[in-house]
Amino acid sequence: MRVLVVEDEPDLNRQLKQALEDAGYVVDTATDGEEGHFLGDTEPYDAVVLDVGLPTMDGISVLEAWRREGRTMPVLLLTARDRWSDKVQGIDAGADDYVAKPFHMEEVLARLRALVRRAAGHSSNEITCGPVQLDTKGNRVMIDGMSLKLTAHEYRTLSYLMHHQGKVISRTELTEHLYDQDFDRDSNTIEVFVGRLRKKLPDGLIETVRGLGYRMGQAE
Amino acid sequence: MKLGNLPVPNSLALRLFLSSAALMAIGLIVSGFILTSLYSKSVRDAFDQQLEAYANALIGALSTQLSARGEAVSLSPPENIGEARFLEPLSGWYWQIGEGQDSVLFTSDSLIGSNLDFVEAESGIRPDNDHQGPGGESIRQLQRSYGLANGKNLVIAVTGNVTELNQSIADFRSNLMVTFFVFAAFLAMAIYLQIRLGLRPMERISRALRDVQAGRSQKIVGKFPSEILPVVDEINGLIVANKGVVERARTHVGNLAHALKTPLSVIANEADGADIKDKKISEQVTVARDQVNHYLSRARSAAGLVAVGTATPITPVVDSLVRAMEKIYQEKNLSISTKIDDITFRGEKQDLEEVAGNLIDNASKWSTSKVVVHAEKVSKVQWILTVEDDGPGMTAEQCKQALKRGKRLDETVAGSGLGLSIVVETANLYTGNMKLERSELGGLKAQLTLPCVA
Repeated sequence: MRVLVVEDEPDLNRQLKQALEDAGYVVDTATDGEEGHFLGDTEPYDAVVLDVGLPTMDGISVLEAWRREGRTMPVLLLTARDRWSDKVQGIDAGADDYVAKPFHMEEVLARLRALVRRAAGHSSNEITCGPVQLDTKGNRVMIDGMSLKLTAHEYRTLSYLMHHQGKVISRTELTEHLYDQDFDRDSNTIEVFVGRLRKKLPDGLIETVRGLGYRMGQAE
Repeated sequence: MKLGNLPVPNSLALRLFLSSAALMAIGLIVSGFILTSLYSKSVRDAFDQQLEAYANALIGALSTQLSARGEAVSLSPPENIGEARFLEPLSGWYWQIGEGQDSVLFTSDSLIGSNLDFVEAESGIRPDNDHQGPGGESIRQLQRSYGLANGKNLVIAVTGNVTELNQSIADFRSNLMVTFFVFAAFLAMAIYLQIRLGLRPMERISRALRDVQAGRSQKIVGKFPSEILPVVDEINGLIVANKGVVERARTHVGNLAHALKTPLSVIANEADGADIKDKKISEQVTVARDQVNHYLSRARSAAGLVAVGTATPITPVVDSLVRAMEKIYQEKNLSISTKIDDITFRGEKQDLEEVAGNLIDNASKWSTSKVVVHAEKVSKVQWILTVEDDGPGMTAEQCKQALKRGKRLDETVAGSGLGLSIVVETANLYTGNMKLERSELGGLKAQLTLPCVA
């Protein structure tokens, strides 16, 4: 899952990036409103953590611009101005949730997890596909109740596929959502990870749709 | 209010009316005296001229009896000089002719044997002016002296009855009083109308200010006379400046919040480890956060209270809050039903958002599936916001505890525990109150009383 963090305070930006990466997300960062707006407008993020008070373009304006331009990714607002008027303004501008500063990182992670899940149509922290169980809260994968060891990249690939079960996911989409913007998109790394996952998972769970990409679970 | 020892009424209209009425009364009384004395003088002068004419007629009658050298050979009483009242006994109309002051030669028939007193002065009106005649009537006496060739003087005294004269003056005075009384009543009415008309712009200002104070209007609007317009402009300027000050205060408070809370987030997340030091830092960050939230909330609400003319229709506020809650808690698939009367909260929009937001947020957080928001007017100046949920609810003791600042009854649900106490404090600032009890839905029922625009 690829997440954009737009926060102007360098330390907080770093902490958020670190915590999100530790939680298994691929994270791009921006430190001002215009840069954040540009990235959110051009890259396919699964979620955005957006500070309200930003230089060059405030968070609410960035969010409104995204929504106007048809960008529908879930957005979690970080706001120090935590009056209900500010929250309502944020929600009305198109935010999906908010976290008031100062916050504990667990709260941001929990809210973000819920947003990503909700955006993919899942209501629980645990996503299942046949015998495979993905615990988004604990970043664990179980097969028939037995823990499965995965590398960080394998986990991210499986997590994205399981969040979008039944949908055909192209290699490009996988690359876009599993790597940050500096990644070389022509490499065949995705095929390597899918191959490794297939070896660790029950047969036929990840299907190759010729010419289109991969599909996990039952077809739509 | 006192002016010297005189009590001065507080009403400007009454003050103007009383002072104008007093001046008018003094003016009319003085005018009455002047007019009466002028009239009196005028009628007395006319009376005196009449007496003078009679004296001249008597002289004329006697002069025909004088010799060519001006000597009185043998004088006889003059004939009737054309005034019947000189024949009527004790009519007050008399004449008397004497030779010198002491001897009386002739008298009018009306004196019927009595004599008039000649006065020392040779000519003119008797100094004691109106006095009693032989019949007890009030008379006015004119005396004239004419020198004869033999060195003696003919003294002629003519009197007239002044009862009619006095009656005429008294009639004039009473007629004048009636006229002045009617005139005074008319003037009083005119003064009243003038004051009402003149002070009408003041009443309009007063009404407009009450509207501003009550929140029905944002500034003083209307057409005002040029003399009052600068005052209206000044008041409107003050209202705008006041709102600006409050708005700037809110912005500064928001900036302060941002300036404090972002570093607090950094500190909290740097000290995210499990050792004692990290836990201590984390604990202190939480305390600092709660303190910042508490005092910022109070500062913002207090700033809002000084702004005059603040009024907020509650329906749009509750609607936007409900919309936000449904999005924030969409996973719970909440049903938030509202029944909001047409009420205008007498206060700042942000404060209403804060109290209603915290109550609806609490209810949404704890509810199983249902939240009911109800706003109704309970008196001309008060309304009640009721928020109920179908969550676990609280016992009476828990309700009491929940209203204490920063008290959190369940640490497993996100929040600072400040929500309800912020609601209570904000309600108190608006002289409202809050009540917590068990709801018929099974959960908590929060009732908040706040002021509204009448």
